[in-house]
Amino acid sequence: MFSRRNGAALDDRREGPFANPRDVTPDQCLIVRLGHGANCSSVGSVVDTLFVGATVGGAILAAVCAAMKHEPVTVVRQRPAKDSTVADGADKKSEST
Amino acid sequence: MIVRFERWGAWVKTETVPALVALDRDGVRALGLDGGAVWREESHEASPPIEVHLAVTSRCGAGCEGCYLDAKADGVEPPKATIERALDALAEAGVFTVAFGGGEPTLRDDLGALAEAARARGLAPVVTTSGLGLGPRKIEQLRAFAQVNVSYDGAAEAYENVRGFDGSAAAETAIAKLAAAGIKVGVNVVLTRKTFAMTKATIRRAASLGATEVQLLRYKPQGRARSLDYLAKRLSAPQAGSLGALLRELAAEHEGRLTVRIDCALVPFLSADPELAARPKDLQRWGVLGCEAGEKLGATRVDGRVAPCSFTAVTALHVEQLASGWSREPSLAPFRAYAAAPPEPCASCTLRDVCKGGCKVVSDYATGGIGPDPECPRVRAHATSAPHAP
Ligand code: SF4
Ligand code: SF4
Repeated sequence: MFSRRNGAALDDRREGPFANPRDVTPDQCLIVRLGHGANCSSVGSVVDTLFVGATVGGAILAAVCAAMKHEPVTVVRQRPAKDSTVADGADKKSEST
Repeated sequence: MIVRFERWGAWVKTETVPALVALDRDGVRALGLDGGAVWREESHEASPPIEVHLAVTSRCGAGCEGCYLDAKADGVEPPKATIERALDALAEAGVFTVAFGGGEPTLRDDLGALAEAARARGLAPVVTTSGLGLGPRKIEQLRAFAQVNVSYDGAAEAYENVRGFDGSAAAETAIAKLAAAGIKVGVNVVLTRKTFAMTKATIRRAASLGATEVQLLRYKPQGRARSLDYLAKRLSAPQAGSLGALLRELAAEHEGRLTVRIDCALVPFLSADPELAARPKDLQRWGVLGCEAGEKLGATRVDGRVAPCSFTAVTALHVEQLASGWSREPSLAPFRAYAAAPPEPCASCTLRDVCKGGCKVVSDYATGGIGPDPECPRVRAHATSAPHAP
C-alpha cells in the first residue's frame, strides 16, 4: 500500500507505476543503520556492522534492499509537497545527483 | 516502510528488517517514487529531525545522582492530550522514531495508549525505563513499543557507582521479565571511570538475562551530573582511547546474539583507534552518528519546548511548531554551523563528517561554549602539541 501521512490520498503500491518496483542496489544505499536508533537520551548507532566481513555485510545490505522492494510505502514530508508523488514510470530514466 | 524525500534522495525506514537507510535518487526511483518538489527546489533549509526524544513526564522516584534532567518524585506529567498533540506535530514534521523518556515513563498509566497513539501516526515508539516497579500490567503496556531499553549499569557495585543507589536487582528482574514476555529488550550501560573495567561482565550478565542489545553511553555533565563530581566519574584518557578495542571484543563475543550500539557522544573516542579512524567511509555507510544535536536529532521537555538534544538547553521553539520552526529557530543555528565547519583539530580529522566535532554538552561544561570535544583523544593530543604562548 502507498499512503501519505496527514490526510493525503491513499494509493496502492501494487497497482499502476508501483506494480514492478526495481531492485534497489546496495550502492544506492548511502547510509544503512540497523535498528530503531533512538534512545531516551541520545542517538544510538549499531557498531557490530563495522567489524563484520564483506560476506556478512553484503548479506545485511541485500536483506535491507529486499525489504525496501517489498514493504508497503508511507511517504512523509514536513511540508505538503503536493507534487512529490509517484514517478511517471518505474523505468523513468535516472539522473545522477 | 516510511519514506521522507530529501534533496539528495530520501530517508527510508524499513520495518521487516528494522533499519534507517539514506537512499540516493536512483534508489528512490527504483522504488517507483519521485521526490517531486523536494528534489526540484534544491532547498538548503535544515530538514526536520529523524528522531525526537519526547519527555512524557518529569516524575521519577529513582533519584539517580547523574540524572541529566534532575527528575523528581513530584515532577510534572503533561495530560495525554498534550502528548498526543506533540505526536501529531512529530508526524507532521516527518519524524520517524519517537523515544519516550522522562523522568520515568512507566509511571504514566497511559503509556501503552501513548505508544499506540504514536504508531497510529506512523511513528516508531521506543522507550527507556529504570525497570523499578515494573509489574505485569506495565510490562503489557510496553508491548506496544518497537524497542524497550532498561538502564543497567552492572551488578550492585557498578550500578551504585553510576546512580548513587543499587537498583541492579530491579533492573535485572525487569530485563528477565520483559524477555520472558517476548518483548525485545536492550540495556543502556553508562560508562564511568570506576565501571569501565566491568563493562564486559555487565553485558554478559545482561545477555544471560535475555537482553538482545546493549547501548553504551558516555557519562555527561548535565542536570545533577553537572558538578565537579563529573570530573571524577568521566572516563580516563586511557579508557576513552581503548573504546574501539572494547567494541571489537564485544562484537566478537556476542556476534549474532546481541547487538552493540554506542551513543553519539562516544564517537569522538573512536579517533584513538587507528583502524576505525582510517575507515570514515565505513562508519558513515553503517550509520554511525556522532553529534546530531539540532540536525537529525531533537528533544522536547515536558513543557513542550524543543532542544537540540536531551542534554542541551531548550530553545523558544514549541514542539507543536516543529514542522515550520525547526529550520528557522535561531538557537539551533550554532550547533549546525559548528558541525558544518569545526575548527582544528576537528577540521582535519578523518572522522569529522561522522563525529561532527564531538559532544557539545561536554565542550560547554569545560569551556562554556561549543567547541572541539575536550575529552576526544585527538583533541587532547592537539592541545598537548600546540605551541603555548610564552
Ligand atoms: S577531533 Fe573533533 S571531529 Fe575528530 S573525533 Fe575528535 S571531536 Fe570528533
Ligand atoms: S550534544 Fe551532541 S554528542 Fe552530546 S549528547 Fe547531545 S547530540 Fe549527543
